[in-house]
Amino acid sequence: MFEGIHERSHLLRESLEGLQSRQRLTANNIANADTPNYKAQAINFETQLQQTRQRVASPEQSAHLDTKNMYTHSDHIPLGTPSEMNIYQVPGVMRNDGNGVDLDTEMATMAQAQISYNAVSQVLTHRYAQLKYVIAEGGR
Amino acid sequence: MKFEDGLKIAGSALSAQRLRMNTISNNLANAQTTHTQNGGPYKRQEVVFQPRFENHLLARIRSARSHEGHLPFDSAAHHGGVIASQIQEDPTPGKEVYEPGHPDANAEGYVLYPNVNVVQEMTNMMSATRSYEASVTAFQSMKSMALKALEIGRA
Repeated sequence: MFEGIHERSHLLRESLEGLQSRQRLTANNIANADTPNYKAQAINFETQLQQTRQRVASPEQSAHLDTKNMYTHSDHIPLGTPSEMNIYQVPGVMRNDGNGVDLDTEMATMAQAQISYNAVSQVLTHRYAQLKYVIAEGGR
Repeated sequence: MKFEDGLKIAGSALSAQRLRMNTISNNLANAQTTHTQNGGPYKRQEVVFQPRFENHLLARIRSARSHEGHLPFDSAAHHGGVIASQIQEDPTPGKEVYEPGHPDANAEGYVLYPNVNVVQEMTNMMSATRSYEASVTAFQSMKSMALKALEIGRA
């Protein structure tokens, strides 16, 4: 009964986690804004999220997409959550000492991630409030 | 705990920039110091920053254990951020000023002054202030996100 609801909440949770990772990476970039030869890092979790969304929308069609936990031997080390795997290095150099952090971009990314995080967490709060309402009022 | 990691990253930047600020203050305070314990004039000091970042995949491999009895790898020290790895002296020579009456004057009457350039120190100080402010903003942003996450269950 609750599978569909949880599946969609899971999507929101994954998005929150991705935004949190983005915030963490941005903080790391800002922390290293004065470190010689440091290169900025960024994360792309939206592509992964899109695939999960498709899987939720049509589970039977995209079942083969789930390669996240596929391994050929039980002793193999898992590749980790998808969001951790999509971290990449931003090309380009901003300063003479080889530093690649663009502070303006980082601050903008941080503001954007924070706003998105607030929005998504609000949706999640609302979803739980709805569930609570249904449970409370349905029993009357 | 991911939020803690983020706060620690911002915190490491705050302490690193504060150390840089202290070093700059020290340079400015000793801009006219001609006599040190080692002899000779004061040498300008500079903080060297180094990323405290470990490759995510590498961290994952290190934290994986093949047996439950194995001791866990301490990953707390590898959560990212920045550290001031050392404070090094600037080897460039200072300026020589002709002051025959000065107690530190050499045989020709010249006094060796420190290699501190006050203008350079001031611009460095501004840069450190801005970097500190950026990290404070990052810290606040992270904090407000953590607080927002706490509200999810409060519906």
